[in-house]
Amino acid sequence: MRGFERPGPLRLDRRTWMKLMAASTAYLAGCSKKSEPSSASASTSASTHASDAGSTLRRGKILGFLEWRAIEAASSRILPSDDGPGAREAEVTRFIDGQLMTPELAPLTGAIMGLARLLDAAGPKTFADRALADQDATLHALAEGSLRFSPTAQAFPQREAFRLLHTLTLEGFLSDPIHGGNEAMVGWKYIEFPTPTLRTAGATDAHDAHDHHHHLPIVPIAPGGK
Amino acid sequence: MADELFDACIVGSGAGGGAMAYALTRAGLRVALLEKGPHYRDADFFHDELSVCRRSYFVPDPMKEPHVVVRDGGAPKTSSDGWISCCVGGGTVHMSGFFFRMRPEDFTLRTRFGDVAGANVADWPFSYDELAPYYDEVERVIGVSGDAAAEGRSTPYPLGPIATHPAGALIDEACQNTGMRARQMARAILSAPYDGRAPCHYCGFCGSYGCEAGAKSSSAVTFVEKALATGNLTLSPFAMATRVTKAKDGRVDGVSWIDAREGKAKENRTRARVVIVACSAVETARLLLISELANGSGLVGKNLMFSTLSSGYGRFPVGDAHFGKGPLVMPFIDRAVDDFYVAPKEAGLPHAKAGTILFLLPHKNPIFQAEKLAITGGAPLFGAALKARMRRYFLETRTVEWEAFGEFLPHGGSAVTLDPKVRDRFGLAAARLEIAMHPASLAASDWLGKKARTVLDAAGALEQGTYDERIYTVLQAGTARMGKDPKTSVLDATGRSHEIKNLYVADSSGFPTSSGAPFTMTIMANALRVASKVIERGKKGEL
Repeated sequence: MRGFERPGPLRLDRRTWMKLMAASTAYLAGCSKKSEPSSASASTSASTHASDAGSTLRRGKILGFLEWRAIEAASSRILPSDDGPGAREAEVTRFIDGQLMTPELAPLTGAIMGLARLLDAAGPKTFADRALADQDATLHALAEGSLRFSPTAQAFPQREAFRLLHTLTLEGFLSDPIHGGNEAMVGWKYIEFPTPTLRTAGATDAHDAHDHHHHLPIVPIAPGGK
Repeated sequence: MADELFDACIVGSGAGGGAMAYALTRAGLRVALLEKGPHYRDADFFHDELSVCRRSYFVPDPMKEPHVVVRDGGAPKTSSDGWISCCVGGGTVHMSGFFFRMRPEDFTLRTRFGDVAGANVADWPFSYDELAPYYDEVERVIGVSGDAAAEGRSTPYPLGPIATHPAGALIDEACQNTGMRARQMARAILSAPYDGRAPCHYCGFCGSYGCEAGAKSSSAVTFVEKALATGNLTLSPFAMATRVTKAKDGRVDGVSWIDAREGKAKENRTRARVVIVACSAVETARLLLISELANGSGLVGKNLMFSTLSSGYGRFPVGDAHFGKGPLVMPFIDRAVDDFYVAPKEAGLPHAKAGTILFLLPHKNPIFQAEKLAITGGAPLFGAALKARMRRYFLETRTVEWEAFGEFLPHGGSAVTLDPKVRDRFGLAAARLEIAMHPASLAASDWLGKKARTVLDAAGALEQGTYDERIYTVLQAGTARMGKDPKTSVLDATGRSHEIKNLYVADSSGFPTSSGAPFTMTIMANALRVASKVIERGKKGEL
């Protein structure tokens, strides 16, 4: 009756982390100027995408407009919304943006940024503007590490980045809404997970004092809301 | 604290260190207890899978305090494998609390079953009978709930068995029909109020979580609390031991430690007449190796053992007589089959010592379960296929899991050494774990798995599958084995170093063999036994 197999941040070993961090930094540095995010190009591409019709362009505290769109589109293919709520309704992207502000996951910011850039660069249109079947094909290639459109893409740790996005998507769908995902508990409702009986952390100072989790949320929230 | 001379300094506050602190302080000894992690109280525990189980809540961040793991001779990987919960109470805080005694044959494995090629099987330097009264004491002091009648035990447990889900009957019947006997296993969880503590409220967040009700009988809420109540215990959380220090006369004289909140800040020192190391088989070996102590035999870190694991699941229909409709409320079925603790001859196993099969309801953690669904069978599944698997697991079926815990024969390919390069955030050499299973252990584990699947077939499982993990690294032992001969063991029968007469080890590091069931209770019982030797010597003025 174990609740985890390998504890630790995202259960990635240090080499995978290092690889992700180093390679994504290199990738970002190698990106051409035209793929730099700008609100102008983002709003142009957004308006051409049917599924975004009527929606306002969003950005996070860490993720820019372009990254937000790419990550939201990709995570929505990992948990699509066809049979009920998926990553989009659960606000998985908002969850990821929040996680990148925690001390444990902040070092992976470059990997997420790099992944968003890679996905956008992998086709003629930005990732979010491509047909769903094309998006799936790109993600399958990413999972296998077989995106070969440029030397920088080839050097990017694709499999690791896919695994990272995959894990974060599941976490954002099914973790306590206190972390920014699982909006209105849509993930929990989808799997009929009974609301946990205890959601409030920390009456003693042990949390604050510990090196690893001084960032833990200790604010109670009302069930069903933010 | 630097000036005070304690009677004993214990490193580690888990199953072994906590029990040791309890016994020594009750006997009037003044004890310093060093624990590298925080001191969580019941109110610190909550049900947030992300924070508690998927970030560095109980175990260190592998980026900052890595273990270097070499599996089956492959490439070294830094990981948090091999870490056990770092907080007051150690692994007993987030354990599931499956409580088993070892059996008489576990103490005479070599005599009874002989040598095995490529393994270092040894008898224990004492018998089950010597340990039995300490098992009784553990059950009484911390509160263990079990069904003595079903187990055929002459003495009752201090508490009756915890309540289980009606689907347990499914396993009982299936076992009967396949010639096995399932019994409810004992748990270190209170089934009724006990000793001023509240009973279990069946939330199901046991394993991987701390118990907010205090109903789980961890070292923290039992042994350590009782030791604090004597007024003889000085407990130091966040105290990361860096070295056991040696005096000019060849004895040890204390422990150096760093405040874990301050990183590489100044070193503190605790002086003591006796030093007792109890910080898990991996970390105890690491501390002794860093301290360059007690290793005349060259065996510190050798014979690293775990529990072998074979595990899988069967899915059953929702809405039938066993599971009913709606989400599961009762979290336990807790059946154990120990008919194959020693496998029958016809199994044809290279080593007859097998183990125990447990039938359990799966952990409630939804992210953990969803990820397991996605990664079972290769690359992470995504999209509609993943959601279909999630619906199947969470909505359309109910799952019974089995876990077979088996003897992990000690051998030369499984050991702890100091990594030549990797350092932790304190600048100390990281533990390097070579992990490999002896083929005879693997064969026995496989065989137990086959038996478990037979049961779920008989129970009418719609489908079955197995999980990949074959070694349960949280249950670890060996690395400083007890024995009679200083050439072939690190510790004597009393848990004391053969070489240094005031240095003891009180965790599972001293175990010569690993048994065929979770052995947390044996760590506690043996620590109480070792404590009795320390107290005896103290009375004679021999500390």
